[in-house]
Amino acid sequence: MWFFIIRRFNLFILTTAVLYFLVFLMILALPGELMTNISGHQQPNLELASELTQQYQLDKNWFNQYISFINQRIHGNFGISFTTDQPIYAEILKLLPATIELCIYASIVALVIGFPLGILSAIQPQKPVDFVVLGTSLVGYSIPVFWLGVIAIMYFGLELQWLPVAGRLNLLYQVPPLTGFTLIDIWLSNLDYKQLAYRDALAHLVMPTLTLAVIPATMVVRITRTAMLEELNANYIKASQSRGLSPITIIFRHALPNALQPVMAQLSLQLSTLLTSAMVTEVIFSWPGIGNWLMDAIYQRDYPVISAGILICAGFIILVSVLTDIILIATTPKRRSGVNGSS
Amino acid sequence: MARASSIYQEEVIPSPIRQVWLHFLSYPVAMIGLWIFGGYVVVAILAPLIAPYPPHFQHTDALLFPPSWHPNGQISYFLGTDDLGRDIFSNLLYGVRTTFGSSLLVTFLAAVIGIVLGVLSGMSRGLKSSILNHILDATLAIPSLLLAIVLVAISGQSLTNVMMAVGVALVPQFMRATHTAVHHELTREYVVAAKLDGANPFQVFFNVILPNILNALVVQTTLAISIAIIDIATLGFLRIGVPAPTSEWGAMLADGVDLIFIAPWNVTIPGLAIFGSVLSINLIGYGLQRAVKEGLG
Repeated sequence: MWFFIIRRFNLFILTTAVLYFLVFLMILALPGELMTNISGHQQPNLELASELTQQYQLDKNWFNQYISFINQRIHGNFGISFTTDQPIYAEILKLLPATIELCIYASIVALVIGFPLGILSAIQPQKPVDFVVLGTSLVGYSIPVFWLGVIAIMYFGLELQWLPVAGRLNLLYQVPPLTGFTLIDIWLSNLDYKQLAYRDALAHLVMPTLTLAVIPATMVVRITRTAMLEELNANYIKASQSRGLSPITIIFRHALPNALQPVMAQLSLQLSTLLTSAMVTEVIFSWPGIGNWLMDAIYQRDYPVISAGILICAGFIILVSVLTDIILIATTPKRRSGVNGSS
Repeated sequence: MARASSIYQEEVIPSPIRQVWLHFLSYPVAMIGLWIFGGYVVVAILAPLIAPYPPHFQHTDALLFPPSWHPNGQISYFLGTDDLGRDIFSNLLYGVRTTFGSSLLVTFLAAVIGIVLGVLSGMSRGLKSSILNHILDATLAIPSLLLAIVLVAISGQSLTNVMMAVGVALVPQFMRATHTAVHHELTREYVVAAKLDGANPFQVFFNVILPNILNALVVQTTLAISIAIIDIATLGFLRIGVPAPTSEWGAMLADGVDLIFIAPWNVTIPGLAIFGSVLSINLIGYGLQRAVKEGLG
């Protein structure tokens, strides 16, 4: 097994290297000076310029530049932002938790809704329940996330005034950002009105989370359904049926654990879709996360921020997919035969 | 069905593509999708003939008219007007061309490039395949919309650039789907048999593998069209898409957001147009998937 895990790890390093190369190419292609675009210093004085030249080996050929680019980025030096002149790394650390928080809650909602529905429709294929679930998931999958967000704001935020439409927390509550996750921060803080703060934070969370959860939920439904259908048609299910096991036992003890493997593998591939819609959702609900920050950077042509954002988002996706791969390999011997670098 | 048309006792087995088509015809939902899709295509071609006004003509005496079924609406502005007095219906019809039409075009180009590259990487083995794979994994890890956004940011806003960006973001997905399908087929016995018969790689691919992966590619293409529509509209919504004078659904929606209090139809109507086109394509994709599964599997 270690052989396969090491192999996956090598794959991770190589893929990340390629990703860095793509971003490096992008920086080379950007208009303007390479030194400015790679470091974020717009008018470096002579001293700084020579330091930057040395840091990024700008006087050497492109390969040396590429290597030192990786070197700087891995050590947390993402340069500074054009607009704020702050180190980008610190900003990322501040913003990333907000995005991760939103994504985690949305995935939880998606799984909680999607799993049971997927199983339900797989148990009764081609029956009314199946059609309703599939139809709903097709409709949900077709709704553009920005439209859904705007409609939700229009109805629940403006017309009914049930929910706040922007931000993470009312400004009334001064919660010191320790971890960056609002709910944990409120718990850690010594606020007098913890209950109220919680209620406010949750009210802010409802709309973005649900908006973001719709598309992943429909994906979970369909992937679960396919995987479950495949397992339920397997011979061992027929064998256990003929032995007289109850349908509940068959579904939850026998079919579901086996169906979970492909579901997990497929879901890790959907992470980039989730992050993309998270970016749009953040823009709509003014959620102070990576997506919102990146969009601002794009409006302002803030190249160091854009390249850092891509590195972080894509690196995160690669990391998660490799981790799920390793978990799957560790738990399912069946998968080990297939992973031979070539596949 | 096939037998009824022949007066002889001989059984005619429909060709695989015909079987898929016959199955497809039997799903009402998928047919609805196909009709809606056809409607959009017709509108995309005939937009200038159907549209009552030029898309940017500003009716200064008719600002913010509600849709015609509203008590204050007028039938001459079927879906109402926006804050500059532009007729939403005409704008929407021209938007079919930008958002829907160009996504079809983009998907077609991306499909051709992606499938060719995918086949090359799928048919090759060893180092070459491995290198292609790693590049592919890295590109796939970059969220497609983010890639498109960055490309637009670098190359500047124009319809061609937006289309190129969306296309570039789609190519890796095509490559991945083709690669997986080809790789999967290569291990099958009938491929080995063909190889043992002395077929060269070209023959193996065109005569043995291609007919078997065609279904996967068609399904992937329908998926890609819906992704392309949503991506183009999202870019428009984020105001980094097709620049202002062109009618585009996402940009129309973004303009409508400012008026959401007084004129909500500026948001709902373009949204419905996007939703309808994506839904029709997803319905077709679903029907095709099922038809392929039941007709051939």
